[in-house]
Amino acid sequence: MKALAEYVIRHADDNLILAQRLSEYVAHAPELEEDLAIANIALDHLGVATHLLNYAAALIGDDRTGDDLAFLRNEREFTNLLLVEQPNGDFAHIIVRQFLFDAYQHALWPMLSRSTDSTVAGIAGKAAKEAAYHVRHSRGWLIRLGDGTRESHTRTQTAVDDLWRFVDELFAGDDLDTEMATAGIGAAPAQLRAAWDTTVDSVLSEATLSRGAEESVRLGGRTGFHTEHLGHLLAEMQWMQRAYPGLEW
Amino acid sequence: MSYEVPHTEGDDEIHYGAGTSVGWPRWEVFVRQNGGLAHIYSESVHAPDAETALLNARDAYLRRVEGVSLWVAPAGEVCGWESDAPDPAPAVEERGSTRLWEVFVRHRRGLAHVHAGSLYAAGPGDAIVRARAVYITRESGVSVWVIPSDQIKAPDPSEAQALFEPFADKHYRHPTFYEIPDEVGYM
Repeated sequence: MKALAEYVIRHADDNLILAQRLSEYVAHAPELEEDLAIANIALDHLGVATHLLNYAAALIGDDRTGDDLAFLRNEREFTNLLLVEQPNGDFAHIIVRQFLFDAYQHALWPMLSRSTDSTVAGIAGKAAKEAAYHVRHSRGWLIRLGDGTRESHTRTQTAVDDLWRFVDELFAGDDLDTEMATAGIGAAPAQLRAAWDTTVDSVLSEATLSRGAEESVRLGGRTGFHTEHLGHLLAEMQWMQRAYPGLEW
Repeated sequence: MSYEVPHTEGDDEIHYGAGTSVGWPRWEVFVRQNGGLAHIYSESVHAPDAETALLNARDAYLRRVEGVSLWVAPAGEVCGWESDAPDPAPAVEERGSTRLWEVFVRHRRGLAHVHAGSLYAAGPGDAIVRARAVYITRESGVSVWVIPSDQIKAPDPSEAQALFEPFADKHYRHPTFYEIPDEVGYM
């Protein structure tokens, strides 16, 4: 039960942290319609995170709630991928980060929707439909930016180069992933790579962009070793519960 | 769905389409709600192309209503006629081959245009004349819009799940904490 809770939390954290990052950007998008789209996608990720954290809290079985897991854990206890905690930067970075992650979840959720754990399968089934929309959104933007002006192309290629070192972590996997995959509950990350490669390569090519360099791969998110950006994100996300414990509204 | 992302020749600016030197062109949005029989006009969005217009329309207009179908059309393709305007007449150049038009009727002031049906016509004036004869009666219909059917973009049915379903069970998207007084009427 402990292992399942840990597994659920890592996927919850991916979505929670990305939701927080996207929320930071609300009211800053280049067009009102895009602002709505980003806010919607943030809400989708937050919804998935809420379901998963509530489930994890039930599995753990102490008196903590899903909210407690979100707002009262420390940086080292978060097990999200390093990619999703990277700062927004410019719009190109937001779109590239989103596309790389959308393509990952677009492959992940359909596999988890066949999980032998019915709660995981149910949440994944719902999230799969959202991911299909997310990847459609970020794909369109990546192509428009990459195959746009010289300025937009340069910025987008820079974003790909900056974020590429976090890609291998999506598929690295660890003992917990293996245990969950063997039990039929989870998906082995390495199995998602082929579908991800196909999607990403075809879109990058249409966007006249190229993959980033494979050197300097960064790992550590799944074991709680984060980049310097997560602490700042958590400080903003958690300060109210930290300053006013138990506050409700 | 197949769609074309605009490719630009030069490096100087992104071309969003004809006549849009500032910002994106406007698209009219029509939504059919769960249990509804027709697509109803739901205001507009700005978008660089039809694909983005569909996604933007989904985000802007499907959060509170449970939509099951969505149409978008370039605002420039919509031709309208109001019942207090002079009688419509086909333009001189409207002759020869016909094409299919979708007809939207506003039944009373304060209500939105509702999809009434379609017809073949040689041009917008001709389409309005025919629409008035077919879809408007003396008592109903204060305004008619016609749009060439091939200018209306709808999602592929296979994509309906991704576009429409995720909204169904998200109660936090609905403003359920406010009471709307009866006098407000159509909301």
